[in-house]
Amino acid sequence: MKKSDVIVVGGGLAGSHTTFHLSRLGLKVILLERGSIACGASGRNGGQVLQCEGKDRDKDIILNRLKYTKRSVRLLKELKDELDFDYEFKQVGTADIVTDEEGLAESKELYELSHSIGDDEIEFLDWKGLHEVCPYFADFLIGGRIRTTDGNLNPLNLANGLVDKAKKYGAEVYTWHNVDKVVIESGKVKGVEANGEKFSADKVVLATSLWTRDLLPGFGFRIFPHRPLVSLSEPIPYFKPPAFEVLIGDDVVWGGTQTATGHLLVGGGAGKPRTVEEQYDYVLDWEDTIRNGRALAMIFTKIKAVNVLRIWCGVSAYTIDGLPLVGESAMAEGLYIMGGFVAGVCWTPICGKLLAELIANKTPEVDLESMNPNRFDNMKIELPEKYNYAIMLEHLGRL
Amino acid sequence: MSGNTNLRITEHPILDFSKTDSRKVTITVNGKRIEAYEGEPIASAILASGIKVLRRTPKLKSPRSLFCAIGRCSDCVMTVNGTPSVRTCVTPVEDGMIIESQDI
Repeated sequence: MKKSDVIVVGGGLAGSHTTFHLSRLGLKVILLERGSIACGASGRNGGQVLQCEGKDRDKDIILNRLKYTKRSVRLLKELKDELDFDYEFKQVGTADIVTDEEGLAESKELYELSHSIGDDEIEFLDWKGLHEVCPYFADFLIGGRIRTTDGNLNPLNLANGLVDKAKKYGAEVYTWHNVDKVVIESGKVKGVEANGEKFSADKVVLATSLWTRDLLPGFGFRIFPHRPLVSLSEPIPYFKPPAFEVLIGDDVVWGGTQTATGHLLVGGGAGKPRTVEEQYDYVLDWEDTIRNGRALAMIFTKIKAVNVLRIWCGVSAYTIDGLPLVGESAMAEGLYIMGGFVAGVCWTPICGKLLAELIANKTPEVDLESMNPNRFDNMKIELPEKYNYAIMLEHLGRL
Repeated sequence: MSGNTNLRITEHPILDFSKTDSRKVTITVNGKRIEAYEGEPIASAILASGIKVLRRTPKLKSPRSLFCAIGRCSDCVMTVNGTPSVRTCVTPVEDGMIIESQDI
């Protein structure tokens, strides 16, 4: 039997950040990952560091988000010096782009709203401004807002860099270890069983997001999946486009970025509405592949031609209020939850740090209250039977 | 390799040159105008003109030129008429093409 102070289950960005900070604070940590590091949602996304998505107008919601995400951006800058892996963090900004005058007026309004509440990292771009930022954007993209402190990074390198450093701080990492069971006795966590082996600790972090339901009977339906597509082109000369999102017609939001190595990433939501279980099982179909190619061609029509190397299907996790679940679970003493990140690349840095501080009995630098993992207890969460990105966001009132 | 060796490709394992007549055209490579035969691979024309470096690698800036010559290795990619990362070893010359090196 292997013993440690804390067991972290899940070697994605959530688990990697948490393991890194716990080890750094001097705790003995075992990290268990069922595949390789960041082989799930963390390794398959576009790497966007996106602080505020959507069109929220509620001042408290926006300021609460920024309280965490600004700290994440700061951490991502600081970690550069500490990790031995280059995770290619570039603050190229993220642009919320619009295609019609109505959208542009709304964009201006949201920009003014941001500045009125002291959020001054947003700039408004008209057609000329947007095409100065990126001359390769198609002409029908007429402007929008840009958050200049956002950007993109290489999530696979970040997760591996964190785990590598955690090992140097003393963490033990077991990949290809599938946790079968969380051991709970008289309301207290005792450890986990993985690959038929026992691991013992008084504290267990489940950084397993959408798959927490498989490990924890009674966890229920709090985090639900949506499957976005991502395509990656051959490298082309770096033209420094911001990471961006744009709604084309009534189709889903398409987003993209150019990686530090020149690959053009474009992706968006899968088209056909699907049930929750179908979302879990979805593998890319031909129709979606064509839709993604069409979006890429429309947005970057000025590039004329680019070869796409591969296209794949990512996983994003949603909660009904758009905030993740981070903190101690009411289901057992010593059981911590860390998951349900919609924009995990940007949210996991600070959440991993705060959770590690909580576990190490230090006062976290910001409270985790709004992310309480028990806030949906006794709440019946309903979704349309079948949903795609647009249906889901409309249902949640966040479109 | 001496400077006056003729590097023009005249026989090729996968491309058919039989229809390549000898109509001479002019293309521009990194601002320099060179003569080329319509229909021959762009890389062939560039090498024959004496230019040996097609691009440089992003990190070490080391020179790259024709390598596989059959459109697989992507060592010869250049920006052609504004389209980035075109495989010049298998793309035929057209009159007036503007070709530029990339740092990727």
